[in-house]
Amino acid sequence: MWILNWLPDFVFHLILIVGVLALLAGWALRMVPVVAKYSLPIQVAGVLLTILGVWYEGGIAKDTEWKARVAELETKVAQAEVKSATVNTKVVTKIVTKTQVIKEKGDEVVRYIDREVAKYDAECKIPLVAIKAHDASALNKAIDEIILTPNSVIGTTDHNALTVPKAKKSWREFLPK
Amino acid sequence: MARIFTKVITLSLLGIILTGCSTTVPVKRTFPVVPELLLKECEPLNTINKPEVKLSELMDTVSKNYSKYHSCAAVTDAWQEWYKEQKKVFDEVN
Repeated sequence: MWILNWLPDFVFHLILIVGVLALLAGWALRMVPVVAKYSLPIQVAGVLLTILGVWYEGGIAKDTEWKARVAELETKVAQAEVKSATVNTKVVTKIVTKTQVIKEKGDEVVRYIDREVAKYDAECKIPLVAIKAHDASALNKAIDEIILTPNSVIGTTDHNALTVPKAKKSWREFLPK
Repeated sequence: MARIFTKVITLSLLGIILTGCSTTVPVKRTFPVVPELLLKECEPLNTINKPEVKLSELMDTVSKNYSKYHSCAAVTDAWQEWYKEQKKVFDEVN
């Protein structure tokens, strides 16, 4: 209820109290002959104010309930944010450690290759097709796709043919003879 | 006079009913921020890119590529772990 945000709660308590008092006063004034004629309008006003007061009291009760729920949710959200940050820290720590281990192990293997495998460099000749297959695989390309090496031969015939300008024709040549 | 009185009563009642209109509850949730490390793209694999290569050079390249794969796989695993954990945290609130 937006009006509850504008006015303090005591205003609505006051409306209910005044309404109930007006009802009682209307009933009591009936017994006093001089002011008895005012009892009906006072009672009508009392009924209206009581209805209004009860309406707003209900609104205040519901509003309080919602506010409590919002506060509870806000607490949960704040706790979730803390937990989320903890998860991030955990994940980052894990990935940093894992990456470091991967790097160290990789470096160790590379050192081993440089030390031990290098002895067989002279004995083992790697054919160009093996390099081509490796590079195609590393680049995720098909073997047929051009992988340039200094030995690659590029067919330039089609390219050159396309660069030769076509002989221009005059518009007269298109006319019927 | 009676018609005016009826109108006033009707408008007053309408006004009272409208005061019952609810306002939205502002509970804002922010999407968890992903660690920068997980946003890093996987590096492209090394190629030999020359006609002649020594066995050790080829092995070096292959080994480095495997390391790159393992690093990238670690990031993917971390993404999965991050999602599972964050979802668990998210579901706890509701």
